[in-house]
Amino acid sequence: MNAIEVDQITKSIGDRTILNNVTFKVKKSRIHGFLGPNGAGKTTTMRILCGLTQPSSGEVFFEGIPLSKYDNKLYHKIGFLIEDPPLYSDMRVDDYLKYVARLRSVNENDLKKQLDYCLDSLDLHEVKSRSIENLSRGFKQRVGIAQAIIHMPDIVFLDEPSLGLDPRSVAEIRTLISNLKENHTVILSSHLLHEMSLVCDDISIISKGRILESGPLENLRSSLEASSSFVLSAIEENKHFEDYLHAEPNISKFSIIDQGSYIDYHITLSVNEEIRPEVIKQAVNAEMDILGLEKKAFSLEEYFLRVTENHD
Amino acid sequence: MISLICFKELKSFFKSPIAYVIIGLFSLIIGWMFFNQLSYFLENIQKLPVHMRHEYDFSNEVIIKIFGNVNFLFIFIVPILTMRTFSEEFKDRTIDLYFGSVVSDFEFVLGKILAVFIQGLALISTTLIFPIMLANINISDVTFLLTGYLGIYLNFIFFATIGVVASSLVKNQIIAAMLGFVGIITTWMIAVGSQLTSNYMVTQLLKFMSVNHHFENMVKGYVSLSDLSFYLCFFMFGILLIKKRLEARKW
Repeated sequence: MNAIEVDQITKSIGDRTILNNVTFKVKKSRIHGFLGPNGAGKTTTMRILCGLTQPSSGEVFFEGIPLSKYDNKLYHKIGFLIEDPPLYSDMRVDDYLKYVARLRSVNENDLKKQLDYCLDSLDLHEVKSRSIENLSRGFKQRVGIAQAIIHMPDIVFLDEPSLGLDPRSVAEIRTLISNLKENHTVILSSHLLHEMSLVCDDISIISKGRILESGPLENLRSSLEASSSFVLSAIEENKHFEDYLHAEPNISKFSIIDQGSYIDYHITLSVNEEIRPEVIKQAVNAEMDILGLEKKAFSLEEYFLRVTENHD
Repeated sequence: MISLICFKELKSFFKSPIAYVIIGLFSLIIGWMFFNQLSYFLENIQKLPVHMRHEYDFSNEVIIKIFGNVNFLFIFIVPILTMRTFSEEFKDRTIDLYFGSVVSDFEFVLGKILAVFIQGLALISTTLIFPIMLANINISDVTFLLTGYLGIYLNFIFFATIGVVASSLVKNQIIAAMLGFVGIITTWMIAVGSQLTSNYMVTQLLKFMSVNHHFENMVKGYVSLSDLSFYLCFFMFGILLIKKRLEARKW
């Protein structure tokens, strides 16, 4: 069974449509990435899934049961960190986490065990007695994630958990999120596409309030490789070679990037056929001084840009 | 859940310096006012012939005036006390902690507002030093003091309800304080409005709606069901407004 099914969610404010028939599914015990440019509707979708905002139409199902049927019981099931961590800066880390746990009706007998689980999972032991206002941004973010999992929810929503962190903290947060998969289903949104490609099992791409792609990352990887691209580096541009590139039906597009002492031809194929030998042959025939040819690896960033550009 | 939220709010309030600044300033100003009223009373009573002195009533000349002064100070102090109640939760997005929990909107609002009312008790309790100091003076009726304190506290609740509603409307604390101040002043103006019309029905209606009318009754020692129901209705109306405001946020 799917952990979440989002069925044709629409959200309008006045004349503005923020989400338009958003539909996707999230499988259990997986990390589902939610990608989209700024203003695409990621946070609004997350808020609707968490029951914080009402959709104009459509329905969200948690394990097959409509969100509207859950009432307050939903909050035993989900935890979230949406946008900035909701922290009381005057509280100590452990007091804050205990307070949040009590708000979510965590049994007093389980409180210590779950607090320890959070402190361990997020490596917060050393700061547990410190006031939140004295923590670094990275630790505040961790406390924000800790409050999302303190009541051991089945599903955790994390909206931009790495925003504004230094590269080391980003890597640490990535490891933490990967570990969360053991006990939780995670829905994650981020602008850091490389990070997403490292932790996510599935992704959904949203732009202008519409879901453009949704599915396992592996499928997207295969579809990208089916239309793979490579870079041919040469000393200088060649008119005959460019005529060939224009004429070749298996090449969907190419671009030329001047690297100073040499140039790169970025060539994208429309079908998954091996035409590199033919391309090299044509370059040699055109008397080009070839420096090298490199197949480009899968890049979620490239995929994301391509999907959103096509939509535009 | 109400007690959990209330206790957290109180802990946060008494940990912050603003609590002590407000209570300290209030005590200082009201202490100075009390000293002045008392000096003025003693000065005047000594000028009177001995046989007329019993007509110069201590309760009327000092205590009622002090209650009036406390009430006046509330106009400025209560909006500062209530300004962060909800606005800070909106600004820091901590309000999502409550929306994303098993706490109902009603419990959340009651927990918050109860904390403000307890803060009010702490504020008013600083004035108890005056009756304690005056324990040797024969005040004709102790119930008069009790109804006065009840009036003061109910007025605090009334003003705090306005302040808390204002705080639920905006994210900025300063604007919340300003809105609360304007709201409280407006309720004072109703009393003035009742004197400007000759229409009996309108006058009576404005009088009933004026918080000062009910406050004056209590300070003079009269507690009626009409006065109590006025405060209760207003408090419930305030709770309803805040609850509606919180529900509106989901849309």
